[in-house]
Amino acid sequence: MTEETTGGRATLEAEGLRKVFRDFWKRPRTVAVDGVSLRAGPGEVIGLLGPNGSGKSTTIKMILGLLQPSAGRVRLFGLDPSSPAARARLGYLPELSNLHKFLTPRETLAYYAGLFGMPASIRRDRTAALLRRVGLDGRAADRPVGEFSKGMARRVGLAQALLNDPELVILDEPTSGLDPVGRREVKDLVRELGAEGRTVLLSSHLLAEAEDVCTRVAILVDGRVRAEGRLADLLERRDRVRFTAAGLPDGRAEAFRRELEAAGATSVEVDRPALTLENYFLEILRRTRAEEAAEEAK
Amino acid sequence: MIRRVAAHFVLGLRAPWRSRLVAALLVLLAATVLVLPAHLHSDGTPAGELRMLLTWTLGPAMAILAAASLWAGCAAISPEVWDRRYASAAVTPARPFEAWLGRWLGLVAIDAALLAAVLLGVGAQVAWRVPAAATAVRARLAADPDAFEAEVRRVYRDIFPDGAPDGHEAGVLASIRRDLAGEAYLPVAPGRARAWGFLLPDPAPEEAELRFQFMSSYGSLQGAKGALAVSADGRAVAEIPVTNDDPGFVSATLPASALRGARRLAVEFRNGESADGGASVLLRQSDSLRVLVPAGGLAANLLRAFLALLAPLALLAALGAALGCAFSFPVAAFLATAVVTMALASGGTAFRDSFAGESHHHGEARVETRLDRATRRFSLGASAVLRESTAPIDRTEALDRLGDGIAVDARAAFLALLLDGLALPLLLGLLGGLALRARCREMP
Repeated sequence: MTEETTGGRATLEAEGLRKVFRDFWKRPRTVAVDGVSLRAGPGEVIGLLGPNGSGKSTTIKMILGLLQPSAGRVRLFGLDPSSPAARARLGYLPELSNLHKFLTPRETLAYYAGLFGMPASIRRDRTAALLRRVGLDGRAADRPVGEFSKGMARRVGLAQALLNDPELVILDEPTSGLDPVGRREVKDLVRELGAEGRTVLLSSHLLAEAEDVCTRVAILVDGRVRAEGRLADLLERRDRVRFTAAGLPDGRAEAFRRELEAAGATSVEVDRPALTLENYFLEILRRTRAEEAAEEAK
Repeated sequence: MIRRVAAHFVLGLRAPWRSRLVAALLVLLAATVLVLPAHLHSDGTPAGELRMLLTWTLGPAMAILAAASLWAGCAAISPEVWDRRYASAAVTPARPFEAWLGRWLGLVAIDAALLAAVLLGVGAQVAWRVPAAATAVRARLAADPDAFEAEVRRVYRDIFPDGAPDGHEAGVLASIRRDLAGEAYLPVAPGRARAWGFLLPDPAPEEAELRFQFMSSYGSLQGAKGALAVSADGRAVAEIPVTNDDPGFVSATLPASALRGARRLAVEFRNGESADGGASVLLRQSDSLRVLVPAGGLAANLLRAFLALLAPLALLAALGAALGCAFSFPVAAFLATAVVTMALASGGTAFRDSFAGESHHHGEARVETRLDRATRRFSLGASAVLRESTAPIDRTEALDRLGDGIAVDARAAFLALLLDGLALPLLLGLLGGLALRARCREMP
């Protein structure tokens, strides 16, 4: 990721990050991250992908200042990540939303709003708007978080991550525990955040979801970046061309395939594209809700 | 900063309340204040009833509050760091010290509310069970520093009638001053005397009660014999006999007419035992003789006691919260309890004396090694630090004074609250904040 791709105004700069975990006697035990560099600017949605144990969360924690890098440096908005000025512009959703179980969502957001120094009047309006946005307005807003399902608790965490209207949002496994509807809502939210000009760093091991929302990705394996770049560039298969058409009469598809082979194409496949299971599921849900609404209207 | 601290303060209030810690404490304290007195029996006198209600209920109540403050402090932040809940708060602009401060203030607010409820409950019981006259509070007259110095010189003359060897007078006088100001009981041999001086307030009090406590060197077998000579501005006021029948305690009321217009009160006890086999009388200069004057009612004294008793609770909460910033809850609780135990033990004379001087092993003089010396110096040093840091609280003697109907000194109470209830906790908070900051930088 270069300065040209970020337009020269980097929100997040991480260079040569390395983290070695040591035992009590300071002997090196594990190299969790080795030479990771990242750069992201406004409007970018960066996916940090990798299998379990690849160093994604460790990298994120170094970016947040929750772990001291063994080597390398991090700058957020040109500032040290542990500085209050940088943290005031940052939103973070941890992998595990360990919220205070005895607080309601409203109280949770009020607590974090206080930590951001938000005045009471702004705090009330912002809390109400965010609870609406994540679908936790109404009675749910005043129930203890300890009574929530994992997905509902995750929504509270998401609201908390957006509380201070952050310029940089870091989401660690944001859809963890959410149902398909919730996952779609989170993905839509992430796209909105990017469209609003915010920088989003998203860590996930669910590749399909990252593919849906990210503009750029970095793939970590064993603590090192093995591939990075714009998603379109990484995934494009230059050796193949796909045509998609509607309204083609039966039989013409086979004729079209023979024409392509006559023109010199090889490994020609003609089939009908499929919906993703997620889209199909959501379509069924939409139809069901519409039918129920129509029944009630009668 | 205020909003960030306030956010932590509100959480510090909510957590103990919603975890039902406060409810459990209310039940325990209610049992202590309301149920326990029903099962205790005093000596039947109003003063005894007052002492039972104020000392024997407040003592256990304070112990419960102290333990709760210490361990609630340990649990204020530590579990959040341990289960990584604190990570979300750590990446906000709030500083670690602000987290400590807010949580500590929350605990102190709960302590203050519970302590106030306990004192109100006890006060209500006293008002119900003890006649008003018996609840009148008395204050101790302040010691006259000139009289103290005169007594130092008199003891010096008794020991060295012809003066100390050359160059040793200052050292001997300093040693006598330390002994007289200290906690040890010093003997007054037959025929010898011990004197006290007090400053009378202006206007002079309506009455003054003289209380003299003593021990005979022969224990309870013989008692003591002598007389207390009381004078005001050099005028003889009263001569109070002390006889072998007196059980280590003599009390007398000094007439107001004798005190009117006077500025200084002097009391001298002379041991009237025979020089040939008579018992010495053991006295402590600081409190064997007290002159008490009326000083308001119980309500004001309970208020002063509230300030004095809140200080140690605030300090314990601060200690727990600071250790909780650095360690997991079980380790913090263990360390906090160990420090408190050492602090309590450091006040004991025997504890200090066991570290002083050479150690002997069944009559053999054991040569002290370098490790012995280092250990002893460290133990004495740690003991001294703990003792001195909690000295302001000790000086208020809140529970003892309440039970004895003596005024808790307002200045001492305020000083204890300022030093041990605020300054020392803030210092612990700074250390806790540093520890929390270090932990937040290595949050795996």
